[in-house]
Amino acid sequence: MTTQRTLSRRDALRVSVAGLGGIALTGLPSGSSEAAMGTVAPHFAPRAKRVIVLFMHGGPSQVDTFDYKPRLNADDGKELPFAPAMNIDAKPKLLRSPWKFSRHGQSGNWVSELLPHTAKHIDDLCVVRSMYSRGQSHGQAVSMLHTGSDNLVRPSVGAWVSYGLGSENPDLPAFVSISPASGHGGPRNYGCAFLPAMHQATAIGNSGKLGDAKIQHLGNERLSDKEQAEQLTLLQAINRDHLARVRRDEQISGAIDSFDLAFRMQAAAPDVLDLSREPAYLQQLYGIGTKETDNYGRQCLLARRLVEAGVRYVEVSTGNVWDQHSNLQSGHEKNSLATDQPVAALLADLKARGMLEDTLVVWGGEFGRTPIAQGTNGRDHNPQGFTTWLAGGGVKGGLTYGNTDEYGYYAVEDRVHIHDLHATMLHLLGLDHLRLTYRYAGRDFRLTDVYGEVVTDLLV
Amino acid sequence: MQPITTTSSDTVPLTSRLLRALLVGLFGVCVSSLQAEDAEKLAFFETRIRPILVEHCYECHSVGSKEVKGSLIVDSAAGLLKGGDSGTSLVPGKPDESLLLEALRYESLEMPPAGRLPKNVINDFQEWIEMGAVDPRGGDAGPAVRSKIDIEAGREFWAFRPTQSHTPPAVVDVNWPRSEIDAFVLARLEEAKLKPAPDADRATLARRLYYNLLGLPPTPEQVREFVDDPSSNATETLVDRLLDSPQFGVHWGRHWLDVARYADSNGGDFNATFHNAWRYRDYVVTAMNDDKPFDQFVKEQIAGDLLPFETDEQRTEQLIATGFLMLGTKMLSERDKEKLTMDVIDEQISTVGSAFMGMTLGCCRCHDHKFDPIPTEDYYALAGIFRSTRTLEGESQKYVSTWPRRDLPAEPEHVAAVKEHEQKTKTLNKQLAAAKKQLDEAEKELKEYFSATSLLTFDDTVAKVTGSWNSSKLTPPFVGKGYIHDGDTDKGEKSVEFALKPRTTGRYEVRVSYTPGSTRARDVPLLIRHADGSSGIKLDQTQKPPIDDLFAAVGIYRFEGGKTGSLTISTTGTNGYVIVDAVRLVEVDEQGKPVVNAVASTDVSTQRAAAEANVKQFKTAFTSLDEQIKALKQDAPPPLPKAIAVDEFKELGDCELCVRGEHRNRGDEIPRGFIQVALTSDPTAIPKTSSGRRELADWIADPQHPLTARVIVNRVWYHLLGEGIVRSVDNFGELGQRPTHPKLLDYLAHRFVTPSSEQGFGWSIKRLVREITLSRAYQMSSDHDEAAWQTDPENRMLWRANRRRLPAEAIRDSMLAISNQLDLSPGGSPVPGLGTLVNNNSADGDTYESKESARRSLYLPIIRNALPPSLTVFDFADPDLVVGKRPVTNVPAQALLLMNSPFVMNCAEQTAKQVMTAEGRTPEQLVARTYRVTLSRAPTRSEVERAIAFLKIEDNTSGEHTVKRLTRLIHVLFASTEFRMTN
Repeated sequence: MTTQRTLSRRDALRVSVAGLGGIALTGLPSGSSEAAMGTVAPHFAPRAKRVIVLFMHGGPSQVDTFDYKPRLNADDGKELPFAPAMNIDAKPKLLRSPWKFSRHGQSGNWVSELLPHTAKHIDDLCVVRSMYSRGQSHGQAVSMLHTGSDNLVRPSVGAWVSYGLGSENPDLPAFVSISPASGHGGPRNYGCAFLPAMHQATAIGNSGKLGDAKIQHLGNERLSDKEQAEQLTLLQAINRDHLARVRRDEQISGAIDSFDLAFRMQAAAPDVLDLSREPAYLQQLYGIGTKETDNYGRQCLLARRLVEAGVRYVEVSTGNVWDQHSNLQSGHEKNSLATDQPVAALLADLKARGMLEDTLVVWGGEFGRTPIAQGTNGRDHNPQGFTTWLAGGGVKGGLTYGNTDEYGYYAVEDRVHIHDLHATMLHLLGLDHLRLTYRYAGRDFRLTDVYGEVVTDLLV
Repeated sequence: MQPITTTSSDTVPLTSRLLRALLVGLFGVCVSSLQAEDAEKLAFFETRIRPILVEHCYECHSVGSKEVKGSLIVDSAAGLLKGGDSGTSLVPGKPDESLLLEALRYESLEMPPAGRLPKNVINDFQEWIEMGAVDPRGGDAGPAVRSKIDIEAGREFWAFRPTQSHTPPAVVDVNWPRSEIDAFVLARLEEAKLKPAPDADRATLARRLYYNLLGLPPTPEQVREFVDDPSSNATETLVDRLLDSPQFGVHWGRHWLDVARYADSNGGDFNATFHNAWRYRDYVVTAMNDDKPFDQFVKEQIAGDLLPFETDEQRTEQLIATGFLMLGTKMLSERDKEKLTMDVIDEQISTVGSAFMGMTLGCCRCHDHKFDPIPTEDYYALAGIFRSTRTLEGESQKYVSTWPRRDLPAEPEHVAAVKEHEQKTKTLNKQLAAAKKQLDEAEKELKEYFSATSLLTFDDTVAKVTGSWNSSKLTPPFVGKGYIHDGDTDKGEKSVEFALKPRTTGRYEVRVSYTPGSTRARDVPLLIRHADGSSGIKLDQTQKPPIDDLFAAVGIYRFEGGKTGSLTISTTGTNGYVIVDAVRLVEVDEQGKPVVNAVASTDVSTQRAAAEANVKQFKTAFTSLDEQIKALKQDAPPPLPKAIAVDEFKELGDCELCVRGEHRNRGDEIPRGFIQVALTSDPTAIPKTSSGRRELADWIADPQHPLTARVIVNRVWYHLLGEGIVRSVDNFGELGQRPTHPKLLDYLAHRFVTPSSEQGFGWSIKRLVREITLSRAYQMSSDHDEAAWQTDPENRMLWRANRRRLPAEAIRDSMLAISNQLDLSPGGSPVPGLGTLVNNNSADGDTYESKESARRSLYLPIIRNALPPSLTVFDFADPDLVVGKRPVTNVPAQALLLMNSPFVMNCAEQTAKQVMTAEGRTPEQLVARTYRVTLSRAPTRSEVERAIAFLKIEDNTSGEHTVKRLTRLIHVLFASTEFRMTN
């Protein structure tokens, strides 16, 4: 299918927007043309300038975290009085939450004892309890959450944001995915599909593990900096000769720019990735150095460093750990322990820096879990109703929005589809989801396809 | 609640009231009673129904809506009755047949989308419909559900008109054209007052031809050979030689694989390995090399399994070809299998549309094409064909679909060898099962022996365990199924308590069993609670237990019958592994001898020894068989060949239209058929006994088809010239670009399908390539001309050759070729050893990493979600999409790869060594040779000087150091813009 670009081929050949490690970096290096690969300007005044998505891969249970259901506890072991969703393995027998809920903050909103640190920030959270999605299996639902499509290959949210807004820092990518899963669609969930390649994410780490936090090919193991500089000087002289010989070629001048930019990036990026530059107390706040929280703590701190340096959209993945078809109790306790403190630290840190005002933080899984039991101590997938929370940039803190039924199964009141969440996220970034389009294969595509409504009740 | 506003569209127009009065009068109904009843119903509507419609529905379903959803308006009575895309929404008096109610109940559609309305409201609607759905609102029924596409008018669009055979136009500069192509090109240039660029020099042309035809650089010798060829047909000779090279198929096959979205794995959610996709890849390479007529190539890919065949070889090829329809990415774990089926069909329709016809058909799944004259019925006419085709079959695990593997014809010897191997394996497996049974029985006997003698034996499995213990079977013998140990960690936090409860009161010797060893603890504290109090004792587990090699006696104590004593083994203060296996009580007499009814220990050891010997013997037999089976597996003949190929589905028939693409919202059945606007004659009827793929294939590959020949000819032109005559190579529709040289396109398309007996190309790709490359238009220089550039900066009129970036494969293959490492061997599976899934979806999901390979890039494993980074960075075609034209980007990732990738540096080093082996070691000679191998040309004087300054080589510089410096120079040249471009 043909890519009907919004720009001419000559523009495309320019290096106006750049990529890193196979991947996209945005920014306009000096001397490049006015060409822009995306809209690179909001449609209206944004409430948020950047986004951090805390992806709880596997699907945390809403009825064990934020969606308090006394009826579920009271009717524990009883038959579900209505039909369960199709194609699931859970038996229609209600399973109470093993955890206690209590009210927190001035808002008095409910949070379970699984997330004591997050609970302290409840007045900053906009808790949407009526999320629903499409896709009973992880693959579809993860794809839905990331691309707005459960079956077709489409650009991911971050790619759309990169396309719409570009990066705030010319030497850094607009979109970074920290420790993305290799399964359940893998790179597709942070890919750009038919959008220009520069809009796909730069990946750091893999499957929930940050590892040594390196970007591919960013650095040379054989040559010293001096040797590289020497080579670059010769290379650019040769390239400029080439350009002079052919007189005019956007592709060649673009490549010359891109070598300069790559070299600059190679110098700049390692600093941003270096967590040891953070003071000890802050590292401690994120749980770095403590066995259980170290990994996710480092990821959250890196996310903050990245957005602070101008990255537009950062996703932090837990890896597919929340999928408790069995061992609900030990599994959810372990995952909560690993993520709760780092997430709370991220909120506190952003707030302390005055960044929470214009940084949108989104927490949630690809779906929730059934209030009915799978086995004796497990819950099955539940795209029919689950909880996602938003915080910061332009959303109402201390708000609880929407409802599931009395058992927390189906979203019934003020339902919010993933498309609506996407529309709202774009809206907060100053982008109209109806107008952020890209022409490909004979039609205009958008993130929300033909769906999506901005959930204005969530906005300040 | 919003206030109810009565807008003008909600008021009943006067004419309507008059009409009603008139009707009532005409039919002579008792007006007064009707009025009373009506008034009641009207009141019901006004109070219970209208407010709900206004509040919850009008936003999307009224004349005033920003965008009317589902073509349904509910702000007029007529609109509600007429319904929308899903058909009539209201049947007065029949709530059960009213879609409106279904939607409100969330039974099929879910309306309103923000949440189900309260039960009483829904009941009101039911009552209202039962009462006859009285609705006083006027207004018309809203927009027509579906505007009819005018197919006849659509045929006027250039791409749907039949191709015309144009004669080449007259030109002013009659000396320039070398062929008909040149006449078309020159005429267009002259029209625009432009001149064609001069001919490219031979060295430039050699490099261009090698890359365009083979995807590989010429060696310095090959360049020289061409440059020095004095004959007038030197170019023809070279082109013919290149067309005959097996590397032609590798390069041109890849062009088709871009369109066929070729991959070796499914990608998506379950990244299942396509173990047999490579057969399709090799089929494409062979088809290009053998110059399989393109119409045949098309037919085989759509319906190869249905075509007649004369030999097994032909049958094999034709079956493999249908892999084309199978290679798309699928959401295999979709639990709604009907949805999955429709999604797969959608992928097939979109691919067939783009690849062969340059048509975007995907949009018609939900509605008529918004730009091209293709109604949604056409889509479902094709859907019926693919619905009758088997693409999915069975599940690889619960909820996860898989696909059919079709047997390919095999040599009888091969079949026999596989059969024999299967037989042998079966026999051995049977023997293994028997041996396993014997072994199990012997082991069971051994266990029973223990349990028989263990009336008062307490195994670790019944004890109360505190802390984390590891179970083990490592060191036999032991009691029961195994024993546990403390892992030599967390001393003091772990303990095991055995409850000791003999039936009768008496004195018992307490025996503790453990598996001894040098790593064990020497002072394991035991606490025994008995009838007379408690006693502590330490046990040395490094010592072999004296009783039956199993038990150590730890004292004689009194226990009361029926009352519980205990023995606690703890780890406090121990150093070394603490083992807990079992505790036994043996009743003893005054002298401390076991009482009569206790089992004599000598007997115990004899019986156990016998049982153990049995176990040992059977274990040996079992292991030997197991090894034989493993050896047999190693020795297995290659599996019988299978193809990833389609088949006819067991149910053949038409497909129902899915309203708005919703597979649960079925409309009318659409007879199978083709794209109406592209029909040139009455379509062949599709028989009830087949899917219709055969007929579809014949229709697409018909020389009269207005799109097929144009699309492929344009693809070939694009690959050779750098831009298509239609620049949007996959989209010939309204939103695609118009041809820059429409007559040339038609001329080539017409000649392409004309039989060779009539001076045509007879669907031959190679003859088309030959014709184009031998044209003067192809052989122009790419030099810049400021005036021409001002007039036509995008070179739409072809005033020069396009300078082009090499495709990703050519960049990688060139470095391998130049460093003399390239492995040109053809074919074969790139994914041996991969399992059902490339990588699993677990939390620790491993990432796939391909092994290093020196083969041509075409043969690298194309794993969706894990494409070779050296290719993706240079815009390799994304196999999730049909990519007729790869984007050409310029991103720093490319710079970083060229600057830092070990692969590039290794190739530079190998090249340096090659350069050093040639004759002449002066810096000038080294630089000249370096330029010739990397850039296919000699360096200029200033280039030589600059390179020598960089090399810093003196006469006394060692060879090793020279290689190092030369490596760095070549590294720079590999990264240069000139290296990755052709002029």
